[in-house]
Amino acid sequence: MHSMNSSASASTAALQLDALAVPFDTAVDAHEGASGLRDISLTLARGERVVLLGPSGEGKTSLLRAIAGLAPLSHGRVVVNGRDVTRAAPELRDAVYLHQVPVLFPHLSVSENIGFPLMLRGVARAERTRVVQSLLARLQLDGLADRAPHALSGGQRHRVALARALAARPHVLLLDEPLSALDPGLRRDVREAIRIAHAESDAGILLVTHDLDDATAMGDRLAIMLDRTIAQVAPADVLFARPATRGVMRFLGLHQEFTGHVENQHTVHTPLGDLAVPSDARQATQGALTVTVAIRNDAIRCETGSTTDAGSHALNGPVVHVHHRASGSSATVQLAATTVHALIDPLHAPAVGTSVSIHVDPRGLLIFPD
Amino acid sequence: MTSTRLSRDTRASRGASPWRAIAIVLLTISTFVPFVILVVQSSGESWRWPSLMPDALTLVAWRGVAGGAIGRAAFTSTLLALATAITAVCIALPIGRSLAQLRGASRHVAAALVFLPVAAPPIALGAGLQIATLWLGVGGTAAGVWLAHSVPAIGYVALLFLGVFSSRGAEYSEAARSHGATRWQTWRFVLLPSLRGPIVEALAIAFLISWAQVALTLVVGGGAVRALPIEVLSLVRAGQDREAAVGALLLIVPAVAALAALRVGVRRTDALPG
Repeated sequence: MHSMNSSASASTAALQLDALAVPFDTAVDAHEGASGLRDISLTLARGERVVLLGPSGEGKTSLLRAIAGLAPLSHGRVVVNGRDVTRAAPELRDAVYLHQVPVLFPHLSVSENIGFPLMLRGVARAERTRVVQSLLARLQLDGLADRAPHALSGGQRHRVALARALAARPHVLLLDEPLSALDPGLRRDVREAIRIAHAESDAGILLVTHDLDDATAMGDRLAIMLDRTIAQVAPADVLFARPATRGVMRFLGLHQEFTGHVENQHTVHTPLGDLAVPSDARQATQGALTVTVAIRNDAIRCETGSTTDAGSHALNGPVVHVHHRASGSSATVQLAATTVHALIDPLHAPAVGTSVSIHVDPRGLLIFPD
Repeated sequence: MTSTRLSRDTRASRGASPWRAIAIVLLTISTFVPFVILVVQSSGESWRWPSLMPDALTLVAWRGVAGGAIGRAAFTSTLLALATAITAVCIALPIGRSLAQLRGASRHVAAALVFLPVAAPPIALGAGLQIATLWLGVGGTAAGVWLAHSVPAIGYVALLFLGVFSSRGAEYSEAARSHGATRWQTWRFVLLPSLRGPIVEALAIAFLISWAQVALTLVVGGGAVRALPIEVLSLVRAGQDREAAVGALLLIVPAVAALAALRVGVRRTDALPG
């Protein structure tokens, strides 16, 4: 099921993918014998950043390589800036693919690496120098022009690779997990470099990452790849609030699932009590005996002390565990029929064993048919 | 716990040191004694058992190198080895790259085929190549020997390039193409310059393979192609020990030079992808 943002029409799109089928690229994915990606359709506007997210081995790298012409397509069409490049050689696609680990040419200095695409096009030396100097400054590489690639730090290598890609002035930048395996400091550095690169270019960026925080920080829209296709494309807020499928919801990991027994079209009975079915989810309850009720983690909160206010979906139970994470703190609360994780204020965390009341915000409720 | 492990390691290294010293001494003796004997033999007058040193020293055998059979043989060997090295690298480079792009069983089968001439005993390979060179009309000629030497050299060097391209060579090529380089530009501006180290290494290996060939040169050359190893073999069989020692020392020179050059090359650049 695709939820495509069609704001970028084909005529202005940096990249348009029509019903692509991509055999898994055995050069990068250990999928020999698997049938590959299917029915991949996506439109990327000029200057837009779309982040591809999905479980490992889903074929995200194969897709990027196929778009770049580095891996074969078995079906479909790739259009870059209005030009069909499905059968074009990689060098004629205007789509630059950046490997996960920056691949800088070891025999060239930093400035020669950055000027490489210009040299190929026969750009005059003076103009080449001007462009390279400008890119060095933009990507905070001043003073490194004559350095050899092996003498650069990890972050500098990423920035040089980005500068070289920008020198090619592509319509599409394909970034394959540029932030994976980087420590937090370097991650921020590379993220910033991508932001600068994006600000200085109207290229559409298609980027692969495994990290939801990176995805939301860098993507105008997020594309979730599941079961060898794109399951949903949407801005982060829409995606988090309304994952289109149970698979997307589970992949994002932002919800807690419960079995709901349908009382009537408007109400489901859950271990958290009777919950009102949102109006846009009533179709899922029609004729069903049970449904999957998903509640966003941040729609479940707990308060110290018991309450009998069952009308606001409040239940009481003892805290059995408290988790403190960088992303927020939560308490695991034992209810009569289940356990539930509720957000808490880390500065006022309830002690284990304390009785708390659980409150559910009905706006964070999703219903999926079983 | 760490200190316990450290002291155990120290004891272990202390315990191993006498054996290590003995091993080093044995290795040194086995490496250098033959060369020392050759040096003394090449310039010794009447050196016979049980004398520790020859009665007198002379450079007569060395003076005869320039215009003599050894000099001509060294020249022939140099030409053969250079031609073999260039041929092997030109053919093995694309083979190694293609092999690196294969996956699964096909890669293993192809690599095994490439390795076959390397693994086969040279005399067996020579028997087959002799017939092939006769068919081609180059049996018993330097051209035939050059072709014969190229077969195992290509095998060795292709495997070297397979390793190089399996590590990063393919990524260089992809990065270049993605940034706008045609196939030719990728070779011209990226692969050849960035593979300079491995190419020099491959040239040296292929040169040495040809330089040291005895069986292939004998069988395919039929005795008409007087390469240096063949000349040394003849001198040994004829009992001309002093001249044989000179020829043998000349045979060693390229190997030592190649080793030294590779060490210098590795120190100068760490841009080697392989």
